[in-house]
Amino acid sequence: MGGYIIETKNLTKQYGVRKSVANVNIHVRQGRIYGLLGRNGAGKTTTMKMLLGLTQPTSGEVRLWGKPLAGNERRLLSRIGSLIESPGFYPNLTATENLRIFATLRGVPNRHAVKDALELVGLPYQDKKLFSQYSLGMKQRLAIALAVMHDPELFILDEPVNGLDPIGISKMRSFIRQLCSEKGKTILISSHILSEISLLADDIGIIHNGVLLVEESLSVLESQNGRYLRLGVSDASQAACLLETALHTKQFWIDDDRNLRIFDPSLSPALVSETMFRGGLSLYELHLCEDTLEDYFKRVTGGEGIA
Amino acid sequence: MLKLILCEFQKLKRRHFLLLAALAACLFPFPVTILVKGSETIDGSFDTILFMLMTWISVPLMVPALAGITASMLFNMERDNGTLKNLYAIPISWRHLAGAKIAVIFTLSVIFTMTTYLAALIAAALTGASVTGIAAKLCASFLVGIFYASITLPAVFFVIWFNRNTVFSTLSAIVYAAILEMLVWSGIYTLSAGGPDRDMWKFQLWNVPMMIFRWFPYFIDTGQPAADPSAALFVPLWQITAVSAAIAGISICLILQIGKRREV
Repeated sequence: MGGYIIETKNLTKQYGVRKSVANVNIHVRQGRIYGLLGRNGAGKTTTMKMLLGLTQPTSGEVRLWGKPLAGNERRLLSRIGSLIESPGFYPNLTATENLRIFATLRGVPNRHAVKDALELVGLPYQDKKLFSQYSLGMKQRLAIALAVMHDPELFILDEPVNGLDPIGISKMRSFIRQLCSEKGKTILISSHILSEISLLADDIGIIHNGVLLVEESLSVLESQNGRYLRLGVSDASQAACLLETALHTKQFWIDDDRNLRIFDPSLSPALVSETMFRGGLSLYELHLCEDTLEDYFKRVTGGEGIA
Repeated sequence: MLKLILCEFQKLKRRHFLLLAALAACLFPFPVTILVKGSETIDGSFDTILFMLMTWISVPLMVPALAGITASMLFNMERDNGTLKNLYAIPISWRHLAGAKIAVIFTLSVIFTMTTYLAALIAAALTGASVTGIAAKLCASFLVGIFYASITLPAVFFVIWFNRNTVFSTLSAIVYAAILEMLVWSGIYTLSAGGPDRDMWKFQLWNVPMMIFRWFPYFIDTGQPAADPSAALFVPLWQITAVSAAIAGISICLILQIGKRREV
């Protein structure tokens, strides 16, 4: 894979002795939606902050459009639209006044940029309502308006569906998809909501305790991890021995004393049941299951699901 | 930079405190004028009214309070509202952002002293006081605004350094303003208590508000002090400029350093 829009090299952020992000290597391709998936506190926001130069890495490098961010901030950051953590605006100003300030500072040449951005997210232009009177959903939409206002090439969106109602989430999803498919924008989106990422992203990175465990395209993940056999047997450890000796596979997972899962796609249910029978084991259950992203997430992080 | 400064002013929209400050600047001169005109011991000229307002009663208290409270609003609003990340992502550097905010503080201080000057001029004209040297006094009022804004910057630094809520920052600004006002009063007390044999090297006469107090009449009445027996009291412009510039310079350097080290 070449021509990355975002590329990090051993990106690390250390606070005291604790590594918030450790040797992360992210690769975001042009015109793709990259979903950064992780539990709360996994290091998603810190990583995104380093990509935007808001936090300096302890070590490692951020490269945007092939150039190092350090020393090229003015040229590179102006090509990015971002939303990090909660929406940040001045409470004593209206949405239009808030956006005008940022449009002025960004030097946005389009005179209608503020109006267009507000219309795009469904907020009224020149409304007298102050930002402090906005609901969480409206604030989130205003933050998206700020991100799109200067027509950037790359979006870095940290949990953009936070605070939105189900219809708002659906609209936001369509909007992000549209940005990518119709306008060719590249999007890095983080979330702890697995279903959102699975519906949106082309590529996925799973970050856990500051470490990027997996980075792969969603289609590859689906093909590799989409199906597995779930077995209920009289003795799971004996079944595991049989799988290793008779079927020569180590692609299985013991759930408990009587249950295990086999991820090796070459093994058919008939072959497995026959092997168990020949090995003298009682087979109570045999299911062909679809692995969801959440199952995969649990497996790679070795823990509970997140949403 | 100009765009950044204008945006800083926009951020202060609907902040009613500034209207109150403007009202105070307009109203202060009238009771002072009435007080001076009614006194038998104080010369009731425009010079005296302006001198009292600029160096003693109004400005030494009001400008540091206004500048300090404005600074706490401007600096805390970015932290409290989470807007720094939006600004840094533009990218706007802390150096430029802090510079624009300091420029706003200076501008508002000068606006306050100029408003006070205009209100004093109107009050003096209405009470029939002699009004002379308008240009020199206008220039002096402008410089007083600059000097007081400069010596408020240490308070601004502490507001940023402590990084506490707006109530704490506002109270700190008011306390700082009260200290500056007390310095003026203690200096005046030292002057009046010392008589002709006053010790010119007493600390109370060399604090910055007192230096402004001693510079102002010299500046608006150039030439006269030389013949005046109390000419030794007066502080030349270069001295007060150098001291104010040094305080402002050190404070600005510290403000830039402390902000640079903080991450969003």
